[in-house]
Amino acid sequence: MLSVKNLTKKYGEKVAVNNLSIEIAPGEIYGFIGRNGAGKTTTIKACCGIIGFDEGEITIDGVSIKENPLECKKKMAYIPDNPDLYDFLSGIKYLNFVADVYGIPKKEREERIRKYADIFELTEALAENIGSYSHGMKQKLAIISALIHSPKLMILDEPFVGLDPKATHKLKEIMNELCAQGSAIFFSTHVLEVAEKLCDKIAIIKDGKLLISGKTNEVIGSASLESVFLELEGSDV
Amino acid sequence: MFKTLLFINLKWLLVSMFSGGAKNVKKKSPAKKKITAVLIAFLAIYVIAYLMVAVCLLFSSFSSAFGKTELEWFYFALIGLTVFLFTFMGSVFSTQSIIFNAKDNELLLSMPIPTFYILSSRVILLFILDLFYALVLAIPAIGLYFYQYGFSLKMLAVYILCILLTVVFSAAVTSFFGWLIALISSKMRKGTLFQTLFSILFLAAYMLVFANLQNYITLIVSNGTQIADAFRKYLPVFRFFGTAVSGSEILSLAALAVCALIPFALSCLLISKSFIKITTSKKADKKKKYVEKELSVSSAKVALLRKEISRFFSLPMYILNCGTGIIFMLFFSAFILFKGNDMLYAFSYSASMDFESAVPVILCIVFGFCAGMCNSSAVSISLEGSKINVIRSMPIKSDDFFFAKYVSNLIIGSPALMLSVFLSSVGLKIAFADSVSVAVASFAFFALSNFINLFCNTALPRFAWSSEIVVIKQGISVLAAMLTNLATCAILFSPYFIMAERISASIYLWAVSGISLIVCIIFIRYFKTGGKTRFENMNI
Repeated sequence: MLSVKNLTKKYGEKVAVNNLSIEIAPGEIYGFIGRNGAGKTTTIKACCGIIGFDEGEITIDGVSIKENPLECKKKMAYIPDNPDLYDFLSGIKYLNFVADVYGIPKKEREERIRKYADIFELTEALAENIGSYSHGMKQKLAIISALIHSPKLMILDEPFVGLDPKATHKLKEIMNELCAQGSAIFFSTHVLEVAEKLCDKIAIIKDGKLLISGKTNEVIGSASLESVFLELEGSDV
Repeated sequence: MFKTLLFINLKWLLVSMFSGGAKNVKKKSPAKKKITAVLIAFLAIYVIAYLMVAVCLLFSSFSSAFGKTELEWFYFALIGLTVFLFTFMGSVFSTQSIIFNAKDNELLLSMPIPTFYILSSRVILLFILDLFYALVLAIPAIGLYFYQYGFSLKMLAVYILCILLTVVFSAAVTSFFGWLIALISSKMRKGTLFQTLFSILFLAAYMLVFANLQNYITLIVSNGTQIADAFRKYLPVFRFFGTAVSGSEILSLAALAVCALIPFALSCLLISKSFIKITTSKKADKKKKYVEKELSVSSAKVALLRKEISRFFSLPMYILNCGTGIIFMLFFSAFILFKGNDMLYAFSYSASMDFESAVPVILCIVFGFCAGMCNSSAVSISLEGSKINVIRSMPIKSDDFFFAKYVSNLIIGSPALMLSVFLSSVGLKIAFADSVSVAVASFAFFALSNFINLFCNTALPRFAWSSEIVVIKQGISVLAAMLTNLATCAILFSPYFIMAERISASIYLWAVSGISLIVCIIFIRYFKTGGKTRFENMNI
């Protein structure tokens, strides 16, 4: 579903992502781990077509993000690390706006908004302006907006930040549900326990370079993800 | 600690004005950097020179009437008053955003920093902003005086001190008003509505003064003695200013210092007492109950357009700054409706040319200037801020993105423009065919100026800001667009006055409409090519 081959992204002289390659198949949950400034968000933004890149190739469902960004974007959803949404719109107007952008038929959008707003207990707040929402509520709204068009690929940057335990649990359930339906999920996180339990595959990145990637059980073996991560972080690339 | 805070505030102001905050920007070549620097320098010089010439024109009547007379102090008192009013109007709304609505208030309050330091650093930032506004007035006003009556170092030194003290006084009054607006807004459910109404009232008062400026100047010049007496009795601050500069009186200077510093200290004290309460208060909005209704379905293009219009009407400062042209044109046309014939008669009598036949072109110039100040599209891209990443991750075509920014401004401004054309045509009894040409040419220019706005914001987007108000009020794209629009308006319409004897106003306006249309087509072509590339590089 998502194929990143030899991705290199530079900011001036600084190499933010260096020759990175990952493959995510339909039905997989792929965790992306690394310390702050490792290059996770840059990789994610490149995959979403937000920023360009210097070398390599990114394809979504076989379509190149460079050559046909709109086709790629129709198939995916992105949740940024900071849910800064349009404060002047109400929750429902924002969701309807997103549904309009993705061209979701009326009946489907109404059903999905009802379903996910109920799951995340946001229904009552939908008439309120987003400006009055807490960080967690904004995060929930961003998640609902990402789910509204049933994306084939979900790319999430730190999705669990700001969510309460119940919403975190619900999001994990939804992620599993989506994968069971054939979608793929690529997300960055610092919560190693979640990544260890939730992800089919894991990649660890340091200073823009991929340290290790593969099936979760193969990456961590008999150890914990935390110990593997700390050991790799301590090593020189 | 205090110095660091002040430095951060200053840096924030500069970043909001000039830095885009985008990381994915290819390094500019030295040649391109030079061109950008030269353009910005040219823009700055153009604005400052324009304002200074306007100030010289304003003060030349006063200087000739009162300079080297017993009312000389009154000339300087008028400078003091104008500096105060100019700085007050320029920063009263920024005060609220800089002091109370700054996004980092809660962060700073959570740190072991005395509230007084946070406040002082912000008030000094305001002082610097006010000082900038003040210098634009103060330099030409004193320059004019020295040019006419000779230079005096002593007078210059006292003048500089008096200007600084007036700015302190202005900062005190603006801080107080900013505090008052913030306090009322924090206690009201419809705080935004209150701010919008207050802003419109404020603008109306400003326009009233502006529209009658010539009358006021004549009144002041012809009744100098009486008005000077009134200043002496009721406006001691400016009397002290005047007497301190004209007579180099130390006592007046000391009195001015007391008048400026005490209100400043009181204002700071007042704000510091309620700063935490206002900045951390949650408005007592009544919870709206969500009732599920049928959702409307529209295309991405329409959804984006609707979003833009919602944004415009949600922010009072956005309406006030980018809708000024609408208020100006409505005000002007209402004036024409009631006083049009008198004005036409007066001008026809005094003008050397056939004024009546030039009326359609003059109307287009006025509406053109006003349309140039209806410029939400000059900042709407910057206002996306960090949301630009979400927009870029969605399947949104660059065409649709630009369409929404462009058409929203057209929708906001066009009804007022057409109504103004209609009222003016009725007021001046313009023939139907001429009225149609005025309407078409005004609209064509508005369409063109809207492309100029969008182009400026596409070329100079600013996504890294901590307050929307700063990017609206001080963003370089808005200034660039406004000045380009004014220049374009002059270039398009003024040649008529050279060829007035050979061409009718109506034909000339149709020709201008045609030229505007051609330039619009060139812009459309740009937004489909170069603009598209720019859009694809927008991120933060």
